Amino acid sequence: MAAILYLCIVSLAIMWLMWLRPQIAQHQRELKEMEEAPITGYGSNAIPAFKHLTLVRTLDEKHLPVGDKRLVFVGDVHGCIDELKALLKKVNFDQHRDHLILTGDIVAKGPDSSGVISLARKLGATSVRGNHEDKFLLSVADMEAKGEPISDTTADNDLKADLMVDQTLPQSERERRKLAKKLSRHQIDWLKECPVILRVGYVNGIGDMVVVHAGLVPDIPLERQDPFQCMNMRTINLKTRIPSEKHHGFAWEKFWNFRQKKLPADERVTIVYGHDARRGKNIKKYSKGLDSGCVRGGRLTALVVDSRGKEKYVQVKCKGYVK
Amino acid sequence: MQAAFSPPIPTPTPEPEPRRDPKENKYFHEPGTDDQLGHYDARFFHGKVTHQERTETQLDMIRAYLKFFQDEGLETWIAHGTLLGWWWNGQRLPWDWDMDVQVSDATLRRLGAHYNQSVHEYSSHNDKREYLLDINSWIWERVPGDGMNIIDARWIDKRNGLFIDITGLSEIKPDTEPGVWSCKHKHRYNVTDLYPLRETVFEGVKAMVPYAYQKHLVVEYGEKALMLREYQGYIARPLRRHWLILADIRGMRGVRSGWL
Repeated sequence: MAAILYLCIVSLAIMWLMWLRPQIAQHQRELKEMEEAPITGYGSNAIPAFKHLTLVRTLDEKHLPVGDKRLVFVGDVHGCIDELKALLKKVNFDQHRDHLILTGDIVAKGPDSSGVISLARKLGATSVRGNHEDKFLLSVADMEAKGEPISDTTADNDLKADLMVDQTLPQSERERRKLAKKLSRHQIDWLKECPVILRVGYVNGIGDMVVVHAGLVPDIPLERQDPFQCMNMRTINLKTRIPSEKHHGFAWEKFWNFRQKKLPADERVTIVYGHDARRGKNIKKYSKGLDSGCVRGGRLTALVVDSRGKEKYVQVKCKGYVK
Repeated sequence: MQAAFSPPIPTPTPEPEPRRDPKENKYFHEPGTDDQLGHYDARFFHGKVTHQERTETQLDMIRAYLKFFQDEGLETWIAHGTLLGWWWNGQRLPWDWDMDVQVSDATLRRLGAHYNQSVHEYSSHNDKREYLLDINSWIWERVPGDGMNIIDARWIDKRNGLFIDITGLSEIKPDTEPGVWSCKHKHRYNVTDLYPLRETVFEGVKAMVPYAYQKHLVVEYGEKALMLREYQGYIARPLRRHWLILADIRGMRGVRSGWL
């Protein structure tokens, strides 16, 4: 009996020393770093000008939830048209009453990028620019500069489109060029209009909302955010406040939430975002991560917000189109 | 603004045999090795230039280079210190002694085959300059070798010998490191961080930068380069798109050094 007790105490002591104490120390260190502002700051550069890139756009006020109107935010669709239709049906989406906002990455990887864009346009939806839209549009620009045809109506199937593309290019570049041949000019122009950051505006019961594909750095105005990081960040260096697309590190949204709570209530901003399928659906007070890995067989997630600011999360299961 | 192109004098690209003294292999020559003299081409050096002349030379030089490459359909992008200046405020860093651009392996070979020794005119603000596009005869070697020919090509102002360094990136280990491109100075890049290139503006003209531009800068210069606004006696005023000389403003009342 005494031996068992002794063993328990030793195990607890080991657990404390090896795991719990370092965890507490790390947490305290992170809190301290989040509190302390660096002496010189990241984010003081003049944001570079990029062709055909709108950094910030404000949503038309008429879409804000008033009365029975709702905002429906949907995470990374990646061409999964069936799942998107099923999800919209499940939330009883009515385009005369509700407004659909997509968190970007609506193209690439999945079965029907063109179908998703067409549906989004038909419903009058808004989307932000994800890293996949970003890379795709840059490939389009490169094709245009080199005189390669885009929106080729003879590319009416995958094989034909494939044969039209330079086979020596890397696989991912070939896929983008194939897509550029399959999409219409109107669809490509629609993608070009998608801003990096969408300022939604004030939503009753929630406050100011913003949609961006990957994330934002706190304490920097929207107009001063770096577009590449807005479309790619996953983590942030607490000492330097510099974001990174790496998975390993301190999650940017943890820092975002921490900083929002330090602000007066009327200055806090809630971000709706996607991008990080590995972390999946990730809901916090001031950040709503909606990328639940649909294209890999996860779920497609919608956040429905009504005029009282009530948040409802709805999901559909996805078939899975890539490993 | 005009640019004129003189047809290149065909020059063979030989594969010279290595000689005993590596210095004899060096293709480009500078009048000296210090920070200043190391940034002139010896053939066109007539003495050190003033800060103002260096500024004006570099502005015209990079605009002429970018315009010529665009007109000829030659792909290039700004790199190293020039990329850092672009990131801060779309301009060159005022303390930079040279400017840096990169090209792909394919573009470098095209330059060697069709543009070596070509001379180009450029007019701006009632001034006319001439530039020599000189391709190093060692471009066939894609590894550093004896280190004498790290720079693949130069765009040289014939008036004073200042130049833009042009380096080519090649996939030097396609079997073990596919998709990794290197220059002869051993900078390594993932091709997915380079392409597709982004169109932007540098010193008022169209320029291309790498896809993941910030990653390139952090890898080369560290995160500090994206944070420190005071360097080499200058302080950044990015929103006003210029750099102030710190000594000029330190005497002013109410100015706190390190943060303006």
